[in-house]
Amino acid sequence: MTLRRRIIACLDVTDGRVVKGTRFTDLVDAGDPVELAARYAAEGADEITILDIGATVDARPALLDLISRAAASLDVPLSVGGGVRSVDDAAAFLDAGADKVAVNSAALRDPSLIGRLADRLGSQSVVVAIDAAGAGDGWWVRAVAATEETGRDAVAWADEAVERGAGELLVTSIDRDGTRSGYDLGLNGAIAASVRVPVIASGGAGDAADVAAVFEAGASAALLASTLHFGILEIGKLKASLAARGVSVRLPAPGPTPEEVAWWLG
Amino acid sequence: MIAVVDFGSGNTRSVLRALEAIGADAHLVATPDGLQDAERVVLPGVGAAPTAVAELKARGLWEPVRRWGADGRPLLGLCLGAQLLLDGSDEGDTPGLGLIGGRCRAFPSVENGGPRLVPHIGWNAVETDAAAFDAYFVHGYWLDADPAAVRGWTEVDRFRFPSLLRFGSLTGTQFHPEKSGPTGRALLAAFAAGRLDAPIEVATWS
Repeated sequence: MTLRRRIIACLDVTDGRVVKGTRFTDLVDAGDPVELAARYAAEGADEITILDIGATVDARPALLDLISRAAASLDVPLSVGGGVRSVDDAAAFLDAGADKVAVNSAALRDPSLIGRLADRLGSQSVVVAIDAAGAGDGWWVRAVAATEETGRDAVAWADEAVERGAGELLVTSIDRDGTRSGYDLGLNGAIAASVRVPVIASGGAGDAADVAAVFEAGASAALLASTLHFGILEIGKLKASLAARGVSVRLPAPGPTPEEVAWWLG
Repeated sequence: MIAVVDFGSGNTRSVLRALEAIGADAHLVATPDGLQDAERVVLPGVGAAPTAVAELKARGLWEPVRRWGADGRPLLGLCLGAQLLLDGSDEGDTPGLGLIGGRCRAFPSVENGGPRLVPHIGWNAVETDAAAFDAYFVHGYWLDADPAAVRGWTEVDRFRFPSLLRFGSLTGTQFHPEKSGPTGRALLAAFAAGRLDAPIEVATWS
């Protein structure tokens, strides 16, 4: 037995609805976030991530309400990101019921934010999200929903984020986002080989072989969004297929009774 | 009534929510008086041991919780809450409640047989004599506990560590039952229903 590879269901949310686009644009409606989060957890998702891609200050109270409703219906960890600019923003997410907070653009503007988040929340609750696109012989980080070039090398930024206190990295390939053409194995592999914290691969999942390949490349977890929302993959079947390929995953199973658990605990 | 000890730790509300979801009569307790009406106590916790100990002491909860456990009353420690049951922790060289023998230690480096990725984050199997089940973990330190108190083990990159403790009426989980799906909920329900109250006959360590 060893640590399972995780399947994370991701809900990109704006104005209280789940949306999904391709390469960060062309958004279409994909449903109610609280309902979808609970459904994916019941289907066997190991974790739920909610990213507020609108992330306006005006929408913040609605987002906190959404986090609290989603958390109340979940029995697996919940990560939330989008528009985190300060330690207080992040603490408010945790107070509302999130277990981890993802930070992206604000950390690129002021990398010391990562250390302050880790001091206040603990590294285990700090996820640094990195959106990167390939160019030349490497991958380069973009900020503000992938609209702004930062000039930062993705692997170097990953190293710095971990050094400053990130407990996990959420690595999104801008090139593959929503394309279902497979994860960027080069990007995820290079970062996973460079750091000693879990890498969550994002962008490009199309089928079970894609997920198995990114685990093989070194990712600890695979994030899926549109393939789940549009019914292309179902988590239970995906996990069964991964298990058949020899990947160690947590297989969905009906819960034991309290009597059984008491007996297990002898 | 179940008292969830509130010393400002990050997962306190998650634990309360999970207990409420299974229909348990659970309340946050941030003062020693709150323990008076309790039948059972849950000690949650994420983050750093020194901060947790300082917060418990600042709220006057340290000694009442210790006495609760020492008197043989039902206590469930979760993650950091389980680590606090031991004699102490290498994290900041912090003293523990001393209810279960042993010490909380940092994972060894990869070169010394430790896991490649630290903290240990994610789902892993807990193996007991009777069963194996998956649970959700997030921790950088492990329970080097009195073997007589160890009921479950977990392995990461061939490093094997105790993940489930039972000692008298004390239960400690290195994992987070409140985040461990239906199995975690069943464990909380077992505790809430008093099925983990009965003292276990154990040999002492020394």
